[in-house]
Amino acid sequence: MLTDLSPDGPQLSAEVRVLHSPAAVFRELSQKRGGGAWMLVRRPLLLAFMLGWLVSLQASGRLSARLIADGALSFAFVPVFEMAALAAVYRLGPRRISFARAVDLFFSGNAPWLLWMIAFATLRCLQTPRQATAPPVFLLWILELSLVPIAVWSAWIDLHFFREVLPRPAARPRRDLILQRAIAWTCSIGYFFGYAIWPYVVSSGT
Amino acid sequence: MSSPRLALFAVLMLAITAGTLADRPRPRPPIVIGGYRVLAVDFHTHSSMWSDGALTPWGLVLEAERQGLDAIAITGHNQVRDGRMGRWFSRLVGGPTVLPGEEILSDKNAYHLIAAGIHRMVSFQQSAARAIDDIHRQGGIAIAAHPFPGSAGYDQAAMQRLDGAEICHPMIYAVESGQRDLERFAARAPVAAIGSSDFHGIGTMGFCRTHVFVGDPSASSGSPRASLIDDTSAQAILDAVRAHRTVVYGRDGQAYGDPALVRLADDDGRLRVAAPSNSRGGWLDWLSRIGGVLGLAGAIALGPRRPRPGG
Repeated sequence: MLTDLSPDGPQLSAEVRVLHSPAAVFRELSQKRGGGAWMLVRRPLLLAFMLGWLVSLQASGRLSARLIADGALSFAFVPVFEMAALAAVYRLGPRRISFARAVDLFFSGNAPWLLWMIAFATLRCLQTPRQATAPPVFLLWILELSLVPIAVWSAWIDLHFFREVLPRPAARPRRDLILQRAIAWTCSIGYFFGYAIWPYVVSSGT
Repeated sequence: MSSPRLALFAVLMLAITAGTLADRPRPRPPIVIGGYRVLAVDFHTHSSMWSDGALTPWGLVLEAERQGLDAIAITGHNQVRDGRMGRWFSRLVGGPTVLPGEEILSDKNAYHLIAAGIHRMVSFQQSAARAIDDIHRQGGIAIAAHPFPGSAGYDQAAMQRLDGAEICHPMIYAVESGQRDLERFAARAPVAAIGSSDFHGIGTMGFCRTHVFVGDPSASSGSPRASLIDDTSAQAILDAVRAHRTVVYGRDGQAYGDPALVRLADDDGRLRVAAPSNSRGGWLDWLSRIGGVLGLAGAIALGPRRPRPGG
């Protein structure tokens, strides 16, 4: 369902393979044809499901249908803004694959974030409710700092996506990556933290 | 789909089924102590609708029910829309009492202030004292939110107006001096003791909670006033906090609040055990989280069955 393998490739998903050799994987997968509604939504839905899965584990220490659905709905803005940002970049130049396939491949590049979520969830499995509610400050720092290499790893993968999947001039992939990140992250942070950070924005201007 | 992948999907489905079966509301028998009805309230929760929480307003209502809470305040960051939505949903499903509220994050980060039981947004561009006056004009109560050192906005004028201050907040478990810091703040003025989880979706809602003593113990049975003991309305809760009729258990089980009510609660003993357990849960919970992590990680990592040569 969520995997695209060459007949000779290892029996691992695109998510795993793209972690270490994104150029080869994107080059190989972009040769395939296809599209359609399912291809357009399957990996965004996986991301939304994983966000709900993480919310459920974090909030209750278990997976319940109620919390998965609620968490997925709460964080649906993440795949929505990612897709919207990709759509903006996709339309800016020539393209050789369908948008549905581009979305599918682009979202497979979320693998570092998925890995981080699995690690975060594994940590929660071992915590008591009190430890989860009030984690030690050093642990929060580790969790936050661990996002930095994940963001760099993810950017490196996405850079290969823009190089291999969208046929653009040499300097364009970096610009595409920055544009995609600027749109997706600004919208996501604005939606999620907007009301909380607005007083700081206001006071910094006075 | 390959057989190993199919098996891992089955493990994931089993994990979700186990977790859903374990996801039952905690029993919430009415507690009456000394003639007061005692309600478990969390005055500080955030939704995913513009308040960097992880659950929707209606998700917060359902979670409050699961955690045995009688009431919650949904306190959006500088807005009250999600609180109003949560109240509407809770009334629809007969859930816990919802107090629409706001966590006022002041400009220059001078104070964080909970407004519970309000109808419209209170401006963050004013002093804490003026914000509290605005809250009171709307019929709400004002609670100092996690007033750790550095909350410079709580000057004497603000302290005199406050209805309550958080004495139990998750940070008291994470920071060694946290409990002492909140005690020092509460000692500056006569305020109701408040326990709040500042729930954003991580950890347990109501882990820190306030036991609010509502009703009128002097009312004789059969009189109209006696019905007040069954009053779990927002108004009854707000009145009780204004009268400082609260008890909170903090770090190491230390009790805070009205001394007479603390004695009554200690003699009774039920409130101490009403707090959420610190246990990692039963076998269904373990099955759910271990199966959930292994099932999902495996299902994502594995590819489909490799085509047979020549096939």
